[in-house]
Amino acid sequence: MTPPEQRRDLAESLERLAESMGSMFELSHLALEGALRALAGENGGSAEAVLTLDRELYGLKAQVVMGCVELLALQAPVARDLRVVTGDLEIASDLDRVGRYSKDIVEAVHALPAGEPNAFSALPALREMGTLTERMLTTVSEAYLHGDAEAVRHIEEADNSVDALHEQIFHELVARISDKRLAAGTGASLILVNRYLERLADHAVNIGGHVEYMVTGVRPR
Amino acid sequence: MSDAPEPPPTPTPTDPAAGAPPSATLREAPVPHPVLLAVRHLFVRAPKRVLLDDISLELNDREVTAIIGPSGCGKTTFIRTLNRMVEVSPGLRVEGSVRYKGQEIYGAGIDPVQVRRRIGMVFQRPIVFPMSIYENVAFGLRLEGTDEDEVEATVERSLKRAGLWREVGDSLEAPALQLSGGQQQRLCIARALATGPRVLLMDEPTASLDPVGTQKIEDLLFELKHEYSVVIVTHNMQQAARVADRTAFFYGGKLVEVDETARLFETPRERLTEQYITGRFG
Repeated sequence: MTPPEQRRDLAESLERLAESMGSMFELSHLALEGALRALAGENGGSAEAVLTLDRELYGLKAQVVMGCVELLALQAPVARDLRVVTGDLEIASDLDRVGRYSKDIVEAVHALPAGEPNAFSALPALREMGTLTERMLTTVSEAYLHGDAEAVRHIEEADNSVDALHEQIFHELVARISDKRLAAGTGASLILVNRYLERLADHAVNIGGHVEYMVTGVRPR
Repeated sequence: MSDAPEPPPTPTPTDPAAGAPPSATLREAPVPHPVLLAVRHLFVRAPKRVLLDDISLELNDREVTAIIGPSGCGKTTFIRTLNRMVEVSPGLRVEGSVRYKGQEIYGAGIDPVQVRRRIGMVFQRPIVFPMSIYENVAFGLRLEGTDEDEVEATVERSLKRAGLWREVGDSLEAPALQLSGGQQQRLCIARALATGPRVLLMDEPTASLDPVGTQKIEDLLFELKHEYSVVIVTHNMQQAARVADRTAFFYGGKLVEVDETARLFETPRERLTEQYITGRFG
């Protein structure tokens, strides 16, 4: 039996793909962190950075898609190589959405009236939701980078907690708008933020499923 | 060798008004085709080594099964046991069981020529006789003493099934050796079909063909599998992925893994299979 160098071109293409994916994970973390800082009222230029990160993630996604198509066309990968390429295609799309929702959160925060308490102070459950979502993204990133399907086994349980918080916050915001404790515009922006965080957690679940498929061959439900 | 008629298909109720019981449920799972060839604990021994080591494998009717594996893994020997062609090679000893429709092909009194009528073979390089296109296809029928009207009808039918009739239908008396390599290979397929087989064994049938000739043979496989069971040995894993319903991976004379082709190429169970199909050895 000879070592893997036999398909050096395939191995190099997969390495390039892995580098782009590593960058996407890193930038999506930074984007989500920036969005959470904006929600905590700690702007300090992070809003602009998130907008830039979103554009970078979009560009990297296009690069990953091109790399995957080229790999499929020229290298005809099979088995785990094939699962990595198709998994990367899906995950790149999820990470692009992480950038987009982070940007949307920053824009929603920007629309809030000046002088009001920051979103996390006004709604402590939103901070909890943000922390959980960030932890989920960290979990799936590490699972991806280490090829560890076991690490994402409980990701849906974390998502259930996020969903419960989303539900709770939504009802709280509707109640505050109804009895005029919250201006309709402010309430609408916070409802959107609540929704964006819930979707971010869903994308982390998607990524977890793709990691499981790449490693074990079991397709995500 | 007898070829018992198949039982009539079980009627499938599709219209409740036509008598299907209202409680009948639609079967979602694909119904596997019946087993046509069943190989059990097959060994082929040469004087100093074992060429096939305890192979058990079932080949289904109306399916294409690809046999893949590195050179010398026993895949060619394997398909040559399926129609007793292996006996042409002196010094090889076959042990185990190969059943065609439940009947042991190595059983006492079974005529290997009759076995090869039911289980035909196409070789790596087209073996064309120096005679006309018509006589090449009629060759096996003449040996059986088939009457001329039937020979004529069978030649036309076989050439049509092999996808060659439109190209040679008006030049049947032309020398077969004038045909292109791809046409010669389809002529060999027509000759194999003329004796009325149910199984076609193909040993790297596109190895000597250009991409156009290869594509025509692969297209033909899709047509043939509606009527025949096809077993194809190939070095080209992309070809196996394109044409086969199931794929078997051989290594060192052993069957390492057999599965639905899509599953084998997406999620092989065995590490050895993964290493081979990803090109990391062999």
